[in-house]
Amino acid sequence: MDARDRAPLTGRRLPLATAAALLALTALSVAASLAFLGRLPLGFPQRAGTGAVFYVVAYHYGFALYDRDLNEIEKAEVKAGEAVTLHIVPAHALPEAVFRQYAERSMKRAIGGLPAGDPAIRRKLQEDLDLGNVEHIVGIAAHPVYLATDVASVLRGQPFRENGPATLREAASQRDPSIKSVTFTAKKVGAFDVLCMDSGMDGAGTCGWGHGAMVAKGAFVVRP
Amino acid sequence: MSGPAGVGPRAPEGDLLRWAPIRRLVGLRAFQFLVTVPTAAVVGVVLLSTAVGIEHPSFNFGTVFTWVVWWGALLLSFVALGRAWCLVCPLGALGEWVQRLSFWRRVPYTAGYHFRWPKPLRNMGLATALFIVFVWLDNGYGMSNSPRMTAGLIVVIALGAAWINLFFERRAFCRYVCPLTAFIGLCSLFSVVELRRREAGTCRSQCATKDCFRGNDRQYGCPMGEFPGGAMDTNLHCILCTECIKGCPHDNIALRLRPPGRDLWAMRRPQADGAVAAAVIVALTTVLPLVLLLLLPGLRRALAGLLPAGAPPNDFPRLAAVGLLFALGIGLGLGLVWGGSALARLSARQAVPTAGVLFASFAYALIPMALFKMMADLLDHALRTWGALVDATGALALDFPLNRVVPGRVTVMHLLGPGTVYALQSALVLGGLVWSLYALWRISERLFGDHRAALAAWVPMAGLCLVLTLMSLWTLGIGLL
Repeated sequence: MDARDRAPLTGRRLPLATAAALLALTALSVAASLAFLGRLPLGFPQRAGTGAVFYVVAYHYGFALYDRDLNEIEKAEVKAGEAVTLHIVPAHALPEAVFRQYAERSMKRAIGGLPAGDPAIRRKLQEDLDLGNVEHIVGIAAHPVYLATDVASVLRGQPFRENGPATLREAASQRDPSIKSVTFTAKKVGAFDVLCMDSGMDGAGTCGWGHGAMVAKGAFVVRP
Repeated sequence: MSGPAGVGPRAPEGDLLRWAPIRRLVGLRAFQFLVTVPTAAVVGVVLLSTAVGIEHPSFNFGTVFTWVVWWGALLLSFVALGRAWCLVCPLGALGEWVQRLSFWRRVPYTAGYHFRWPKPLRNMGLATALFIVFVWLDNGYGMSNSPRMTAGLIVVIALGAAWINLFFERRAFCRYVCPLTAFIGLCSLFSVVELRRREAGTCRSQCATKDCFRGNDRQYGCPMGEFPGGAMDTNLHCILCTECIKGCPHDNIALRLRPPGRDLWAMRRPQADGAVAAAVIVALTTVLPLVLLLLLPGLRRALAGLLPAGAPPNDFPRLAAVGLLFALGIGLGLGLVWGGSALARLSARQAVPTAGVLFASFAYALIPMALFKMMADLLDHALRTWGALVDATGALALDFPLNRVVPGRVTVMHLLGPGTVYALQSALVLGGLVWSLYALWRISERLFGDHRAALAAWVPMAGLCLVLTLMSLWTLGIGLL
């Protein structure tokens, strides 16, 4: 083929269409870049603080639930259609003594094939701490709740936090950076599990050995 | 008609276009659009799910679908249909729609500037480099476990295709830039289907218009810049868009069945850029896993003292270590294939062909090894993560199409035991070895007329294949130890 033959037959070029395409692509590219940089929220955020508010303390290997006034409750109950704000507080962001108090609750349950009260549970827990298995990923079944804790950033390489809030109330009032929050609308009626999500496809979790037992069965209740 | 060994005229019996339903289907002007629409719908759901859906990789439909279902289907499609993915790829189509201002009709006007692609970049270099980045993103950043990164990849490719096609002629993005084009093109050489001219004489003496390349007022010319009526003798760049079938005024295009891998030994002009890309793919699939397995933990520890830790996924020591080991693995892979070619020349005791010519031909023959190793990797992934497919589909159904809802705990479902999986993987890897050995033999026969010289040249390359296969079997089996 000679050079003349190489040119494809494309048709008449429309400068206006080209300009429109350039404009549209520029807009799309800017939007994509902003989304990538986190400047353009892609989700459907709801105003935090409206509706029901709960605090969920995630500890090795369980959850403690609190209402808006930080009174401990057995179940978080809401009405269908109600906006719900959850504040997830990792027990590891609190002083060691408080962390140990929460962890002692795990001694009262059978975990990982060990009977309740077995001293091996405490040993396994310590192993997890030594291995750095300190994070939890908190989810609620059938609801858009999926939050990973970030204890590592407040521990700063120490086994326990130094100079952090002394109590849960202090952490909540100071809006401690370790607390992660989510607001959503409870749509589905029923009792749903609050659980530590598996991080791997093999059923393992970021909190280690007792991860499988870290479920609060039916603890989130949505009434009609 | 005569040609090099293995390149003779092909029997017409295998021509799928002789079958009326297929002929009618591909003859439709809207054929490509119609087959692209379903994938566009799926990619739309995948994009939405990865961009705003749950970040858990097992519950994110887009992530699971992309890296298990799509990737698996892509590997299988190479064998069955060559670059069939490119035919239905909505990301490349987006760029074409912008350029053509039409979804399927041949319209007499167009948008864009239609510049020619810069000459220094008219090869597989850029695409190969981007493929390396693509694999590095997975090894370094864990892209296949990250919904947001998966969404970012889809958006970058779609916008890249649209921008490049707005400035450059034809599907410049798909041919020269797409991070998968070199990989898809090379693996498609293994396909059992090929699109070629029927009679060379018809194209040479009876066709003055070259409509398959240039187009006419009813059809577009080849969007990949190929000339099916001329020198196109491999599947490397053919995306099966069927424009040439529709546009040929002499009905001289065939869609034929053939033995798998025929292009590997039958291509008349193997190019160095394709050979380098092939060697890189072989390195990434066989040498690199071993290098990462042996050296990554130590190198990461060593770099941890020199670089800031960063926060995952920006784990700088790991990213740097993976980058360095990529350079090492790819360098080793290229060196091994080049060394094998140099040894082949020495062994054959002939001055011609040179080691460079042998490299350019032999490297293509290693593609089956790489392809089957990737299938073996995926087999393990698919069998281990089968439960994730169920979970992700369930999660999508609970909150369609946003996929934001947690369905519960991960379903752990191993379809087969690790020993059985390894046996299947080994069978695949050995299948790739056999095919590569056969392709090497056919190439050696073609390059050296003399049977003894051909055998002498074949032996070092066969040895290299064996070494690479053992590497693959070892890395696949390490989990069993």
